[in-house]
Amino acid sequence: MMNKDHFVAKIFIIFFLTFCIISLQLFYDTFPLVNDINTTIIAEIRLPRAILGLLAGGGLALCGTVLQGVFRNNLVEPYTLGISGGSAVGVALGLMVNFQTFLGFSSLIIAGFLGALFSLFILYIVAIRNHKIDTKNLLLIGVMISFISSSLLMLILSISKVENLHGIVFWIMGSLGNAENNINFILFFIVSSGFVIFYLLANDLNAMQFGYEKSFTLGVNIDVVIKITIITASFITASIVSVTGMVGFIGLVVPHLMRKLFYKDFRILLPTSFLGGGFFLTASDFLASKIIYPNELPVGVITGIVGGIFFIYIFKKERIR
Amino acid sequence: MEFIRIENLVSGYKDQFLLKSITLTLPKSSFLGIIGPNGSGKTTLLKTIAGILKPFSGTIYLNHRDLFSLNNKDRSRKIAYVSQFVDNKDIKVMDYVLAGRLPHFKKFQIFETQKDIEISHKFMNFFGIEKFKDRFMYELSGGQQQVVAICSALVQEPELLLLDEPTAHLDLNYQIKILDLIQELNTQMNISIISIFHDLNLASEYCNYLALLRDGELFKFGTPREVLRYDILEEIYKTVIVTDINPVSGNPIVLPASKMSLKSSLQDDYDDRT
Repeated sequence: MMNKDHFVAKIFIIFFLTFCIISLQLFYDTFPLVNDINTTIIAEIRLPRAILGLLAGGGLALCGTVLQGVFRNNLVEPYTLGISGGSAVGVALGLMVNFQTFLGFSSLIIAGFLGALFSLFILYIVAIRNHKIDTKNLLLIGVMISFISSSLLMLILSISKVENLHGIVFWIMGSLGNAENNINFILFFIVSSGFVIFYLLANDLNAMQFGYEKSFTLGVNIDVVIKITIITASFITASIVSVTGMVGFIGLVVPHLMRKLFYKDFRILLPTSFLGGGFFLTASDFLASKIIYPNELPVGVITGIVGGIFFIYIFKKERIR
Repeated sequence: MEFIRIENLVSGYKDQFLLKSITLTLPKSSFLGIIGPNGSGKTTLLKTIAGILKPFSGTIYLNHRDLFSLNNKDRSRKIAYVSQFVDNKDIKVMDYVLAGRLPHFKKFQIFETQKDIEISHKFMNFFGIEKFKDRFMYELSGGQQQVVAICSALVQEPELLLLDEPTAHLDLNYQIKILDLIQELNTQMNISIISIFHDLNLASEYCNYLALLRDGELFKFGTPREVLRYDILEEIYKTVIVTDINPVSGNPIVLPASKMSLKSSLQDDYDDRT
């Protein structure tokens, strides 16, 4: 049952904050001047960027929420599991051979997804035995996969042809600057289908918080739920990574805050995490583009610093269970 | 009336066969206690009946239906399971109880219906935990948590309730309170119960059948009076055991005797004779 204490008020605040940050993103320093140039900037550069921020941030937060639910560990998210890293290597390989020019943008998503699946495969053989997930190992292996991925990215960078280098570097930095309406459209389709899938599993995810035995005897097909969530989450992550590059820790910070703010019920956590993730990434992007103006920081720098500190904080507070 | 029939059940983990060919039949609304030393396969038997462990061979019939032919969801409407530990404590009591309604959710149903809430309230009243409904699990004592867990299993409306030592780690007051409630469910709502017991006296007092396991085999099955005999128990537990009759209920009671008291009692015997 939903926790009704100030529920509406909290939802309203999140909506309001998201609305504020999007307005800021859109109308920053253009406000009093209504002219053609400004309208073009807003409609064709800033609006796609804001939408991408919402979709990518929201999508990553969703993935973090469900992965934390499935593994019953609050430190798990696409980045710490190495799913982002695997996708990034896949996408970089795709960019290296210049996939996107003759196969279209979607081929990069597929390449990223294959990379993510490869990470999952390694996680699976190392950290999961007899349906029992060794969470400590899972995180260690995940972080190691992230490290290896970073090194592989460097390797790919150094062996890439000069004419492809620009695209890879631009993307690796992790930024929302690549926003385009048609890519947003694909992303919207993927993230919203993922949301529907996760929401249909919300009750199963709730039950899985009771542990293997109780959720099993509540009729949850645990293996199926785990497979569906992990594969869907990997696909969402891969599609986001292929647009924005590696943006870490959103899936860690946002679900944690939402659990504290609301209640550990996935029927509430999923929509609120989506909104919160959208807010967090858009806000980070706004900061990243203004902090050293006229230059631009990669947005991953901001989320990485905030998220990394947050990771240590949660780790100290909750320990690995 | 036959309710459960277990036939030649062989079960265990990976390469360890813990249960070797268990066969037993239980009538409707019985209260079976599973007893035996550590490592005799009590939990393995219970988990196999719950469906958590897949058996290597053998069958279990529930109302003449093969249990292993049911899917997870169908089985969860017939059998509920309560483990020794309450796992998820970061949740409110009301939600813990409501979670037990999940087996009755329709496909793609996301929110609980009014009926689910009514049934939960009914059972919370029965267990006297209505007053805690908005508290978090971690705020309750171990005994109260266990009551909530049992209540949550009952809103599943099962025909069979499986309990893995429901009263381990609890004080006597809560042990009796919980077992009284379970007995009431058993006799008034006709829910069959299979529970693991470590305490033989509690098993004797509450169960109407006992299954005594040793090394994965069903050593003795029968009423407490038939099973809790000192010669049987001494063979199983390899220690001197005295049995007597509970003056109030007439059920057998089991008493251990320490080494020192045995020596002195032998000495007394010897003194008496000489």
